[in-house]
Amino acid sequence: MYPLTRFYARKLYRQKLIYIFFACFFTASFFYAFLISTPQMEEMLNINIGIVGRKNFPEFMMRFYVGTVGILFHVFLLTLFICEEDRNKMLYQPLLHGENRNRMIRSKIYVAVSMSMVFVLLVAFINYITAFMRWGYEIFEQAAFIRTIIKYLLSGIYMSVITLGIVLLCICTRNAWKTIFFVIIYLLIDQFIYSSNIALLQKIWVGYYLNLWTFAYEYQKIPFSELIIGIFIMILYGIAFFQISLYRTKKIDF
Amino acid sequence: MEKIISVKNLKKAYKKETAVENVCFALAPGNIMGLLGTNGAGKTTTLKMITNLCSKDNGKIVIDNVSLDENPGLALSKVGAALDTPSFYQELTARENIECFAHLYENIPNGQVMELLDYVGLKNQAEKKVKKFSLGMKQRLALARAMLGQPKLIILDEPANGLDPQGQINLYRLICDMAKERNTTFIVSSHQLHDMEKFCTDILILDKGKSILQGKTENILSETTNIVDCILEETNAARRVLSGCQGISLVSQKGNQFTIRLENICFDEFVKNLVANHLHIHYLSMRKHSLQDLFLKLTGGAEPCIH
Repeated sequence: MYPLTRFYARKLYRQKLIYIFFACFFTASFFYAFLISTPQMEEMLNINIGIVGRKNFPEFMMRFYVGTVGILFHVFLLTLFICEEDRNKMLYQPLLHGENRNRMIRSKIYVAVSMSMVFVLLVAFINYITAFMRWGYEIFEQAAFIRTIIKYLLSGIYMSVITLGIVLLCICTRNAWKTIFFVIIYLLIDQFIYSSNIALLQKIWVGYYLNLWTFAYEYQKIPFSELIIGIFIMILYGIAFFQISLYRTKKIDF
Repeated sequence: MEKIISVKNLKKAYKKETAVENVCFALAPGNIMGLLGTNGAGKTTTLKMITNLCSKDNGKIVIDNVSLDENPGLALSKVGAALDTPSFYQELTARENIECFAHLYENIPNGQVMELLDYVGLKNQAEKKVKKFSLGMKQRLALARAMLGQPKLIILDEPANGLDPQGQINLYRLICDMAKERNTTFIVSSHQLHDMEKFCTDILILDKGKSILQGKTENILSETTNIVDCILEETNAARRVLSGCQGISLVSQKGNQFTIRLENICFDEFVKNLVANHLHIHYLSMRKHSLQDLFLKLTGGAEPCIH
């Protein structure tokens, strides 16, 4: 691994926010697993335990993460990782020690994207642990298990693209609050587009496919065609975000 | 003569405002150049263009015979810099902070980090977290970080900011020692004009982005107009002699106290002239412009206060 990438990876994984978030997520997952399966809660929340619990529980909790919660967690983490470093005059320090801008931002992006993938896997791990604690081997029904793992992988791709988008926002705005603001705007637009009937816009909107996979096809197998189109659009967005980030970084006057 | 850095026609504009215009200078190994100017004069922008942190609109920068435009990586490998207020990873110790950046170099020998910390007087504080450091300690640590990789040129942007007088003197001594012992070239921007006058071999004064004075410090100070205070007997005769004397001008007269500006005549010749005209000299003293006087005069600040 390139020294700068290793350096950034070490730096990122020192963030206490990560450990606090996952401790909270584990607690939430644990309590959800045990609470939703009590008859009182089932009645109160009108939740059919047969759907959201047991083999479906990991998918149910995945939606909880890849929606607003996970994206907001990423934006806070990445603004600390990029905007705050920039504000503290630490972002350009490697450039004073023989690094070039391209390598610097590539290292940041590699660390950020791999972090988003790792976090999705960690979320899957936590949810399977809590589900296993509550329901035991019942959760490993083969079809549901494979379907859920595929959805986790697709969520990983989506979160990586969102991470690239947040990195680009950080580079363009160079301000933590502006980045957070634009991400909130994105989340609102995302909800609007998914619930609207503007088909053309939906087809080219990156967030639409995640909503499609997790809501329209909840606890169901995703049709192959929808899957391919979604992945293709996400890859296109990812490449665009990556290239624009590289271009913008070259132009920054620190 | 070997030049460590050569800057030609450097120019930078932000939208319609020109930040730096036609700045040129060159420095030999072991030189210390003081980059002076009022706030917003273009000092930091100049330093950032040299370190490639900021794009330039025009100009050429050559560092140790390597063009910054053609091979920025190689050119900047010869440069160490501490710009803006010293910033570090607050949760890490001084040693860890330097080690973070030492990993970016290929051939940093083990123990060099501690050696650098020792050099800047922070060896005993190596395991202390940076958040507990005073500003002076952070400035020293920034210097240690800038020294990583044994650069031939070190650029320091207002390194004495926030330091007490003792801290300032110690820092400048450290810079002088490095320049002498290691033949390192320094570009130091500062507002500490008295210290700059003492420590810098070269001076460059910027005003509104333009270079308004540059050269060797001793030349700059000696070439500027000298002022002589004298008390002479026989006021009228003295006045007659002085008005007939070539190369001087009378600045002021109060009784038999005269203030004279030596323009095209040296001090010794002036004294000989007075003696040759049989004037009794009660008191004679030559004053020189300090760097601060010059700076204020050139940048259109307050009237120079002559000491």
